[in-house]
Parts: sequence; structure tokens; C-alpha cells
Amino acid sequence: MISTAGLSRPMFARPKSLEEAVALLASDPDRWTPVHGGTDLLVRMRGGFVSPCGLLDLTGIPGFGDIRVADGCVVIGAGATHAALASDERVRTHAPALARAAGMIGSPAIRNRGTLGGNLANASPAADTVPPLFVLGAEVALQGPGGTRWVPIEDFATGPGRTVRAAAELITAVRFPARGPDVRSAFQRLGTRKALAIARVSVAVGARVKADGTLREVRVALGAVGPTVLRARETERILEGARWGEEVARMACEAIQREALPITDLRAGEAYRREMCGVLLRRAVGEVVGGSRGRE
Amino acid sequence: MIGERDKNRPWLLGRPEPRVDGLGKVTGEARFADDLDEVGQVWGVVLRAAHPHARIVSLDVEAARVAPGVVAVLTARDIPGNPLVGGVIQDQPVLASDRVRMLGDGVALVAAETEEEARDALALIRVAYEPLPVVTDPREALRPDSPLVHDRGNLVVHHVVRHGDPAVGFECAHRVYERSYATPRIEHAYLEPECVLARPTEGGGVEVVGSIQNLFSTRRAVASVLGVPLNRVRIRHAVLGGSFGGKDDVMTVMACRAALLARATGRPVKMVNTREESMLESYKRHPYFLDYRVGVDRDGNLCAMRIEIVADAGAYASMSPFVTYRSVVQAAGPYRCPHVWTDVRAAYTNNPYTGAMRGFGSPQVNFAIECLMDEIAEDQGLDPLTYRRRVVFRDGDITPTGQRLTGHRVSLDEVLARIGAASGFVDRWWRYRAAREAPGQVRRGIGLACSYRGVSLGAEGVDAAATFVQVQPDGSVIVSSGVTDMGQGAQTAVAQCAAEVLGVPLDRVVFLNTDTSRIPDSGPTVASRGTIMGGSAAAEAAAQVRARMLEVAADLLREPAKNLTIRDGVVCRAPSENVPSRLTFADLAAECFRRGVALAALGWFQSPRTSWHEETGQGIAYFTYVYGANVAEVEVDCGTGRVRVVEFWSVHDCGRVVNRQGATGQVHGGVAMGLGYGLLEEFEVERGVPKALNFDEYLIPTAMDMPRMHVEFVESPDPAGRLGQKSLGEPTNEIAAPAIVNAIANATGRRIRQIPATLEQVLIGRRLTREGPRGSEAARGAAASCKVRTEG
Repeated sequence: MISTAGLSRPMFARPKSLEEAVALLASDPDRWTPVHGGTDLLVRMRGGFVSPCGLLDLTGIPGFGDIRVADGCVVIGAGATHAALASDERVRTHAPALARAAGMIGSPAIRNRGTLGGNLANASPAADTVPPLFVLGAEVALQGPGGTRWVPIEDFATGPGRTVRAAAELITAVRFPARGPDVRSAFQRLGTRKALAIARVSVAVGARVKADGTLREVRVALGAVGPTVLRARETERILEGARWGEEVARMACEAIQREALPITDLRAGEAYRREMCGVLLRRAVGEVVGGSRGRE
Repeated sequence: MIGERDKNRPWLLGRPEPRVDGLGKVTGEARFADDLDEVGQVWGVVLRAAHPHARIVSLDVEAARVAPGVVAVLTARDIPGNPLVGGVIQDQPVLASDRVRMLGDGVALVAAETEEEARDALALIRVAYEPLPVVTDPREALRPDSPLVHDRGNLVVHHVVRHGDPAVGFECAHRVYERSYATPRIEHAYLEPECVLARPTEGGGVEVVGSIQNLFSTRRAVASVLGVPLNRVRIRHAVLGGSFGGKDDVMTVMACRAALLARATGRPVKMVNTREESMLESYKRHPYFLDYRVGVDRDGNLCAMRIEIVADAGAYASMSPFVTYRSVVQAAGPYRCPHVWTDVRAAYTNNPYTGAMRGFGSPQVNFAIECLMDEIAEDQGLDPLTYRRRVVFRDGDITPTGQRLTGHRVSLDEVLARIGAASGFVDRWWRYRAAREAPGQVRRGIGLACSYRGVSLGAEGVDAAATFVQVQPDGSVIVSSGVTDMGQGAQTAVAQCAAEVLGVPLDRVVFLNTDTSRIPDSGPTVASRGTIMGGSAAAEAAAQVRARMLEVAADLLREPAKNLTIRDGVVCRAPSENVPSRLTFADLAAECFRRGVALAALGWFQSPRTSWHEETGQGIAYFTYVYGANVAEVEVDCGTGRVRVVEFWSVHDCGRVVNRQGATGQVHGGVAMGLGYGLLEEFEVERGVPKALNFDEYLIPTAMDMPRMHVEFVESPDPAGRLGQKSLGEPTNEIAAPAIVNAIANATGRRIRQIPATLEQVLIGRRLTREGPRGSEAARGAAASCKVRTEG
């Protein structure tokens, strides 16, 4: 039923260790395209957008999807599946918005195959895991022949489908500070249907809520309303040190609508997307302040 | 069934027997068309048009002919017989010769040793086009200055109903409503894309097996295209992965193309559409533009209706004449109104062509009239249920086509009473209406819609079907029918009708897939006619065999045959009570076989008479009707416009229920489709070019979007069906959208008159779809992968 006519017949390698994978990739960076779950890459191959000479299958690397807490950081292996992120206790404790976002991706089958590393490499502005990583202040590990460098998540994607990853580098991990439940985060997303729908708009908010109700260390990120996920800095400035209320909410909504750069496509109109940034922001901040889940 | 003799009471009908084909489907043993291959087969592929409307200036296939692996390249010039197909009007070329009229048109065929070689060769075919002006709005297409899609003009068909005189009726009106509605073009979204395997046979014929809904229509076309008699073309049915009315014309065209390649190459030819090819080429549900003018008197009675509808037929007529026939008959809904004038026109455009789809011209008109009735009810100060119960058809009422509803039970009021009780409709409707002004962004609403629907083909044409029943010497049974199964459960329903009459358990029956050379032409399996037509023919055949078998049983048991019956595989003594004898069905069958008794019979069932007067639209439009109602409860997020259907009630009178499990499944599936129609789906086309060609961007509901379902049946056995059965498949699908949209109005106070009720539509009351090229990569990909070229 599924035509394979559009699929090229690439070479295939399944290294047994990270070192082997990095060495193989470095030996001929233009030949190899890393693949793990394949939930984006195989669709793109069938559509004819990419025709890799070789597929570097990362599923044979032991511990590539491990999640651990070390030196005050949560470190997530690039091979961690969305299903793993959604259910992992450490992720749920330190990064509830990330766990929630991962649990909303696609369908169970896609969440069982798709990985965090793949979601980053694909660099879709609508990628669900990325806005939460923005508010968590995450960094992405890129390992090449010269060693590992850590890139702030905000610098990682440079446009739709484009990242700072060099051809000889592998995404190996993502880390962010393990700040525990004091720093709250929330993720709000709007899709056309309940499952298997790419986000039309998504908003992630992270903040520490002081005893007097003021917001500190506020971070706001927007998905699907620009060429990459965006950080809404003006909105953050309005919220920083403020107490959540109608006046602040109104100003913050105006700001976030200015900061969004939506386009119209088949999934939603531009004006609608802009307005939804405000609606979802209110709900996400409300969730952070109230400590409860808002509506999807 | 008080008063009915026990002997006649169904013993098997209505039971939730498992589907006869269920196990094969879940174990993977079922063989779909693409699972079939033949030794020596070649692959056939199609070069499709590069423009939605253009003259073909030149067509050069020489480079493709000599490409690696290529066995044959065919164009329109290579068609030996009739180059045109079409179920009603023959206007669709199997291959375009001088002109293309839609992007899905085929221009050339390539057969090669492998699919890759065949697709590579397509790129070598050079086509020069001279683009022609494109018309995409059917209302514009009917203007005198419109570009012509076909030389005879853009009007495909114009149906009228002239009942009473609205001019008189509107004089009595206390209030007049003028409302316009629009409904979308949608995709059938069957799971299995189109596939055929054609083999040349002796005498210049072919045998085609494939995912074909209407085998006899396909056979007629293939024979005509090849120029051979019907008996040289054999069409067989593979297990179908869904159709919903969609595997008719598109399969006929594919079968004709495969047949041409098979004749040209002398080898078996396999053709399989990718999803993108399927969505590009296959026909859709007609978009409708509907203008209603309705007058209501002081007491809330409908005094006049003037309805004008334009349907987008796309590039070819397909089933448009019949689809719009159903619309013109049912446009005014199941309501008493003395003066109704309706006009339905279908127009050619350069959009993808439109044809049969589950509902067949009813979902569009039901959406309009049901939304309007809701509005009238509210203005009358009544809830929508109470108001409808005052004005719906009852026994003996006259429809807008002048047909008196007699001979069956007009049960709509009972259906409405049942659904009202089951859903607590009236209380909830008032409660949610009152809560509209309450704080909070999430509101609840409940909505109602109901319908009457003509059973089977009606005055569209001849309506008869055959089923062949053979009892084997060991008492097992083989049933084959001219009615086909595409997943809707016809095999089970038809087999269960045969088993009911023969008196054997359903697991003793095997159903054979349809084969046009082994069963008489039974018409198409459409119009929810499988259970009533195929099932009645099965009952007819089974009754003949049973009568012969009971003569033998009478001899063996020394009891008059009229006192005997068969139940659950055992001969019973009747009539006062069914006392089992020691004679089993199997032993009786063996004895009949030994005595040379004919254990097989062909049942032929012809529908009761219908009639139609073209000029006035008056007559017996359908021989009987079914009645149904839906209630949807929704949650509307007034911040985002997002609608969730949380609970749903369906009550249908489909005559006697043949299989409760299959019937319930039909309702679930129909509601899922109706939910997509109401909230999500639109096959968008811009200047003749579809915007999405796969399910990543054409979104249909998933299981996650389904509400909690409540299904009930009001069973009024109908004398029109041999066993009291009628229709269900399409009624389940035709009123979900208006029920949902009426629920949104109950929640928000806002009336939506254009579906789908997308987030934007719900939130700000209009669509926000952009004009111009799309930005998303997936869109470019879809176009690229289905080989839409800018130039050939």
C-alpha cells in the first residue's frame, strides 16, 4: 500500500557505540544522515525532499536515550523517546512542561519511536519539545571529532529545518538545571484535533512564583508562530516582578501578539494565530501561578 | 410481536452475530487487492495533467517507449472502443486526447517491468499544453460568460420540485427566513488506496480483480472501452478497505486503463495509486451553495419554502444527476409544508470531479434545513425538539414530491421522543442556553437534527438484485450476491438473511466475493440498498431452497410441511411451539442431495414501483423511507474556538435490525464521518489545484475525537423488505454535522452557516484561509511526489 517509489536506497550503518558513530560520521559527513525513530526523516525521504546517501542508525548505541540527574542538571540522552519523556519522574518533577509537551506529540506509535534528538534535528518551528526547553534554559550537546560543545537551545535552530549542527556532529544530549518544583513551567498548545495534529500555536511559560505572588525568572517561548521557536522577551519583561492580574495579563497579551511572527498556512490563519498567542499565554501563566493545569 | 405466529418470528435476525469476514481481517488473512500478484505481471502508471484546464497541443511518448523496462506506452489514440466513460452521462475520457479538464485527468499510460521503471518513464513523456481559462465556482460556471468545461455547456443537470405555490404560501407567512448555507468538498478517506490487477483472457477479453465498489458499472465501461461483449469481461471483487461511495467511477477508470494495458502487453497489469494520486484523482463529495427562503405562520407552521441550490460537479458528471436528485427530493426536510419549490443545479468546473459519497446529496441539504429549523424553533420560543415534533411528517402525510407516506410506519415522532428521553435534551437545551452569559470561557451546548431518507435508488432507475444460495450436502451453505462488501458488512447482513430463512447458524455460511460472470447484474451497491436488496434476494433464494427441503423433511417426519420449520440447524415442529425434532439441517441436506433435490436457488428481488415527473418533480420518489435523529453535546472553548463533541445520541428506525453489532458499528462510523464533515474536513482547491494530498494535512477525526456514543433503534418492520429490513448506512452519516453545529449555537448563541466549523469559524465567524501559494514544505512534497509537473 505504501509506495516505495519515492525512496532512494541509501547505505545503512548501525554503530554499536557512540564513539563508533561519531567516527563513522566524521569519516564522511556528507554521506551520512543520522536517524533514530525516523518519524520525520522517513516521511521527508518518501516526499522526495531529502535523499540521503547513507542512514546512520543510532538505535544500537547503548544508553543513548538515558535520562539522569547529575551536577544539578537533568541530562536527557538524544535517543530518549517522547513516551519516555512524558512518563519519566525526573522530567515530570523538574520540567513538567516538557513532559506535558512530549505527551502531546503525534500518537502513541509516534511517541514510542520519535526522540528528543530527532525533534531538535528536524528543527520545525512547531516542534512541541522546544518551547519547554527554551523556558528551562536548556543546552544541546553536539559531539564531533573534536569533542563535545554545548549550544544554548535558543541558538540551536536557525530557521525551518536548519540548525547550527555541523555535518560531522551528532546531537547526543540535552541538559537543563534541575531546579525542582519551585520553578514552575507550563505548556499550552492548540491543535486542530485531539491527537496526531501539528501545533497551530504553542506557548511555554516558566517562572518562580514568590510567596507574595510576584513572578521571577520568567521565561516565555512561542511555537509555530515564526521561522523558529521564539523567545518572547518583551512579554517576559512585563511579567518579570509583576503580580498576575487582569492589567498585567492585558499588557502581556498585547506584547506577545507583537512578538509573534505568524504566517498563514493550511493549519491556521495569521490573525487567528496571533490572537491565540495571547489566549494561550493567559492560560499558561494562569497554570504556573495557580499550580494547576489549564485547558489544552 | 404479539399476534404474530411464532413460526414467523425471526430467530437469528437482530442478533449481534460476529462479522463473517471479521476474523480474516484481524488476523491478516484477508487478501486486499494490493496483496494479489500474478506471475509475469507488469506495473501500470498514469501520467496526469499538468494544468486544471488546457488544450493538449502535442504529446510525445517516443522517449518513454524505449526507456528501460518499459513494455507499453498508451495514449487516447490506442483505445479500440468507446473512449468515454460515465455512469449517467458519458463525458469522462479514459485518457485525455485533446483537452484536460482537471488536474487528476490521465494523459498517458506506461507499463513497465517494475513500478520504479514505470514511474521513471513518465518523466520522459513530453506534453505541450495551451492553458485555458479555469472556472472553479459553480455559480460562476452557470453565467453565460463563463469558460466552458464541456462544449455542450456547464449545466450538468437541473432538478425541480414544484409543489403548491410558494407565492400563495408566503402570503400567510408571519415571518420569513432567508438564509444561505455552504458545505465543503470532502474526501472519502478510505484506508485503502485504489488498486486493480487485470489479466488478458481469450476472445479479446480481460479479467479484472480490484478494490471495486460497483462491479457491474465497471464491467459495462471496460467492455465498452475495449469494444467487446459483456461476457468477455469478468470483474472480481477483492476484499475492500473501505469505499463510502468512493470506489465507483475512479475504479472504473482505473480498471479500463489496466484493461487497455493488459490487452496491449498481453500480460497481467497491476496498478496501485499512491495516497497522493488517490486524493488528486478520486472524486469528492459535492460542495453545495444553498439558499433557503422559508415562511412560518403565527402558529409556527411552515407555510412555504423556496429553495435554490447549486452543486459543484467538478470536471465530469459522474453521479451528479443522481446525487442532486436525492437533494431535490429531501431538501425541505421531513416537515409538513404545503408549498415547496426547489431547484437544484449542478455545474461543471475545473475542480476535482464530485460523485457518490455516503449520504449522496443528503448531508448538504440536511445541514441547511436542520440549522434553519433550529433557528425557527428558537424564535417560536420553543426548544428544537418540541418544535420539530409539532411539524414532522406522520403517517399519511404528503411530501414535497406529492408522495403520500403510507405502507410503512412514519416513525419520526417516536424517534424524536426516544432521543429526547435518552439525552435529556429539553432540560439541557434550556439550561445551556441560560448559561451562555455565565463567566468562564468553556461553554456547553446540545444540538438536535433529524431526517427522513428515501430507501435505495428510488426513481433514479431500475432497482433489482440477485443473491445465489447453495446448500451443500453436509449442510454448510455458500451465499454469493450481486451486492458487494466494501467493509460495510454486506456479507454478514446478506448471509444472516439467508441463514435466518434456511434456519442455520451463521457460522455455517460462507459468503463469496462478487464475480460479475457468476451472478446477474444487480446494480451498484449504493444508496444503503445492500441489506434491503441483497438481503431480500437472499431471503427469496433461501425460501425456495427451504421449501424443497421441508418437503423432504415432511416425508421423513411424517408431518405436513406447513407444520415444519427450521431453527438453529434443527427441523422443528410448528406452529404452536417450536419443538425440535431429531432431524438436523445437515442430515436433511444430505438426504435432499441423495434424492436429487435442487439445493441451490437464485433469489431475485425487485423493488416496489417508483415514479417521477421531470417537469414538476412530483411522484413516488422512493418506495419507502427511514427516519433518524442525532443529538450532539459539545464543549466550546470560547477562547480558542475549539469544539469538542463530548456525547452523542443516535436513534434510527432502519426497519428490522438484521445484525445489531453491524448496525451499531454503522452508526459509530457514520457519526465519525459526520463529525469530520461538521468540524474538520475540507478538501481545499485553489484555481483547480488541491492544497493537501495526504492525511498529514487533510485531517479527519481520530478515535480520540469521538464522543461517548449512545445508539438506539426503533424497529418498524417494513413490508418493502422481505424480512422487514430497510437501510442504515447513510442515515447514520447525514445529520451529525447539523446536530453539532446546532449544539454550538446552543452554547454560544451564534449560528454557523458554513461548515466545517473550524476554530476560526467558531471564534470569529469566518474562514481565514490564505490565498496564494503555500509556505509549508509538506505541500510542495505532496505535489512533487504525485508527479504534478509544471510542464510535461
